Amino acid sequence: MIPLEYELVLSALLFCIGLYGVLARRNGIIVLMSIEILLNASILNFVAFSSYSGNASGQVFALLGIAVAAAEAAVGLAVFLAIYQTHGTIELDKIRFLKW
Amino acid sequence: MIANEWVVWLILILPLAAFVLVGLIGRRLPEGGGHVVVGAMAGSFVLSLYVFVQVLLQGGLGGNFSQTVDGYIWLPSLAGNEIRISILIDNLSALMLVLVSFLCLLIFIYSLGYMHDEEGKPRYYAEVSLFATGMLGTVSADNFLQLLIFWEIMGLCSYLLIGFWYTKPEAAAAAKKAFLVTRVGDVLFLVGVLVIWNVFGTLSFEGIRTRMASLYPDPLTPQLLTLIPLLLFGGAVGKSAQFPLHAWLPDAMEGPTTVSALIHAATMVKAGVYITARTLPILALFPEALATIAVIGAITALMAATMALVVFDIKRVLAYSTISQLAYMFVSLGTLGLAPALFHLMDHAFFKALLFLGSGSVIHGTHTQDMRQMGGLKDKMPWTYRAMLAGSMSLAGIPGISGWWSKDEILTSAARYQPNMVMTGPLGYFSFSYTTLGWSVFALGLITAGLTAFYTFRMVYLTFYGKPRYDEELVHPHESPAPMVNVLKVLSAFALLSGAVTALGFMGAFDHMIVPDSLEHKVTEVPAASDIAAYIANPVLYASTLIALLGVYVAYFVYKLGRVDTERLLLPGAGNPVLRAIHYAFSHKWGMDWLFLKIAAAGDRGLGFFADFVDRRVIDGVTFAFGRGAFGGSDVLRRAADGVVRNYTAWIIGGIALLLIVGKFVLPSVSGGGLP
Repeated sequence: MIPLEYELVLSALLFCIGLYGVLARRNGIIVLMSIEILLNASILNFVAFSSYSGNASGQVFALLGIAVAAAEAAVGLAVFLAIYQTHGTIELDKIRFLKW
Repeated sequence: MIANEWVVWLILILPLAAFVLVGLIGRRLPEGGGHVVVGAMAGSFVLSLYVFVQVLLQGGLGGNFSQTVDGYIWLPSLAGNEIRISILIDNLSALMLVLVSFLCLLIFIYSLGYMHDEEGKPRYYAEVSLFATGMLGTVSADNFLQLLIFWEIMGLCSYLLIGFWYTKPEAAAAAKKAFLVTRVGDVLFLVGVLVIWNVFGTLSFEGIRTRMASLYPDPLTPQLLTLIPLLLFGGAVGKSAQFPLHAWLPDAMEGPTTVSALIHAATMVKAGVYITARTLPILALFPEALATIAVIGAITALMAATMALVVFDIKRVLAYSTISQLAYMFVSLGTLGLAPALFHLMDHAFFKALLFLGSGSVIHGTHTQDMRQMGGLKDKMPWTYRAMLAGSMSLAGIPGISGWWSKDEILTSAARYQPNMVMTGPLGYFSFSYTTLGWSVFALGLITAGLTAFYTFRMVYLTFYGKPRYDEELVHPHESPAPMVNVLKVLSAFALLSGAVTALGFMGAFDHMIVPDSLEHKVTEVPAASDIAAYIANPVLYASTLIALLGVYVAYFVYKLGRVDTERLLLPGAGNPVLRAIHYAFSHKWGMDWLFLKIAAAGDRGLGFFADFVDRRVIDGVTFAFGRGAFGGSDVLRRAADGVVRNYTAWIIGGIALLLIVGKFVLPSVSGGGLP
C-alpha cells in the first residue's frame, strides 16, 4: 500500500509541471497538453483519496474527469485547427486579437 | 338625547349625494341638476331645523346641550385614543347647521335664476353642493382631523368655484391665489392639530377639554399651550381672510356672484370664526393668544374698511366689507365676547348674502361690476334697490336694523374687556398692560364703524341714485327674474329683523345658548337688550350710532348731494396732495399686494436659484460623476485585457491563489471563520 502522501506529492508535482507548461510555453498544442496534465493531477487526487477512504465515488469522478478531459482536448484541438487555418499560426503570443 | 340620530348624518349625506349625482349625470338633468341640488339642500335645511329644535327643547335654551352622534372608529388604537368619525351636536353646531343650510338653500334657489344661461351649470351645481357639504361637515365635526378634512374640501371647492370661468386669466389667477394663500393658513392649522395630538393624545373637542381641565393650571409647557391656539388661529386667519392673509378674498370676486355670496355669507370665511369660537374655551386660558386675535382683528377691520372706501367694483366693496366685518368678529372673540361674535356672524350672514345677491341682481341687469357705469337704477330695479338698501342699512348699523345690534355688542365687549394683567416683554422691556388693549381695539373698531357706514352708502348712492352713467343705447337695466327677487325679499326680512328679534326676543337666552358652561364667568359681560335700563346706559351704544350716522351723512353729502367733486380733488396738481397720497395708499391696498409680490418674488427667485444649483450641481453632478467614474475606471481596467492568453491564465491562477490564501489564513484570524 502506497502511503497517501506519496500520491499527493506526485499529484502536486504533476500540477506544477502542468501549470508551468500553461504559463510558460507558447505553442498552443503544448499548452493544451499541459492542461491535460493539470486535469490528470486532479484526477490522481480523486483516485488517491478514494482508495485512502475506501469510498468508490471518488473513482466515479475520476472516470467522469477523464471523459471531460477527452472532450476538452477534442474541442481545444478543433479551436487551434481553426485558428491555424485563419491566422496561419498557433503561437499564443501572436494570437492577440482577443483584446480591447 | 336626539331622537332619530340618523337624521344628523342625513344632513351631510344629502348634499354629498347631490354632488355625486349631479357630478355624474348632471348634463342630462333639467337645469343642469339645479333642482336636485336645491332639493337636497332643502332636505338638509329641514333636518337641521329639526335637530336645532330638539337641541333647544332639550336644554339648549338657557343652558348647554351636547351630544356626540357616534359614527365609527376610523383609526383604531389600543391606547384608547382612537380617531372616530362622529358628529358633535351642541348649541353652537346646531345653530351653525341651521344657518349654513338655510343660506345655502337661498343661494342655490337664487342660482336657478342667476346661472340660467351659463354653460357649465352641472359643474357649478355639483361644486356648490360639495361646498355646502364641506361647511356643514366643518361645523359639525367632533374632532380636529374630521374638521380638517371638511375644511380642505371647502378649500378645494373655493378654488374650483372662484375659477369657474377658468378660461378667463384673471379668474384662473384668482383661484390659484385663493388656494395658495389659504394654504399658508392651512399648514399652520395642520401643525396645530399635530401639536394637539402630541400634547393631549386626542383630537376630539370633548377629549381635549377634559384633558385641558385636568392639566390646567399645571400645563405641560405653557409656551406649547400658547402655541396651539396661535397655530389654530393661523388657520382661521387664512380661511377668514384676516391680515396678513386677506389678499385672496377681494380677488375671489372673479367667480360668479352666487359663489361670492356663498363664500362670504354662509361658508368658508365663517369657518375661521367658527373654529375660533369652538376653541375659545382653550383660548380663554391664554391672554396672549386672545390679545393676538383681538389686535389682528382690529388691524384688519380698519385696513379693509379703508380699502373699501376707494374701489369702484361693487363686489369688491362688499368683499372688503366682509373682511372688515369678519375682523369685528375676531375682535369680539379676542376680547372674550363669544355671544356678540356669533350674533354678528348670524346677522352678517343674512345681510351679506343679501348684499351679494342684490349686487348679483344689479350685475345681471347692467352687465358690469363697475359702479362708475351704474347710477339711477332705483326705478329700473325697484326690488333690488329695496333689498340692497335693507342690507346696506344693516351693514352700516342704522339704529334698529340687525347689524346695529350686534356691532354695538361687539364694541361694548371690546371696551369692557379688562383682563387686568400686564404682559412683560423680554428682559423686562416692552411691558404692556392689557387694560389698554380693550380700549385700543375699541377705538379702531369705532373708526371702522364710521368708515363702514360711509362706504356702504357710497355704494348705494353710486349704484342707485343720480343720473344713469351706463350707455343707454346698449344697456337696458331690468328687474331680475322671479326666483332671484323672491330670495332677495326673504333675505331682506331676515337682514332687517334678525338682530332685533334675537336681541329683544331672546337675547339672554342666546347668550346662554352660545356660551358654554366652562366659560360662563369668563366672558365679557355685555348688557342684554331685554334689560332696557342697563342697555341704554351704555355709552358705547351712542358713540357707535353717532359715528355710523355721521358716516352715512358724509356719504349723502358727497355722493347724493354731490357737494364734493371727488374726481377734481384727486387730480394731480389741482387737488389736495394729502388726500391724493391717502387715496393712493388706500387704492393700492396699503402696498400689501406689492409687498407680497416682492416677498414671493424674492422667495421664488431664491428658491429657483437653489433648485437650479441642486439640479445642476448636486443631482446632475452625482449622475455625471458616476458616468465619468465608470468611463475612467473601465479605461484603466481594460488595459488588463491585452489579448495574451497566458496573462489571462496568470490572472486566473493568481486570483484563485489569492482567494485560497485569504480564505485559509486571513479570514480565520479576523473572524474565526474561513476554509476548513
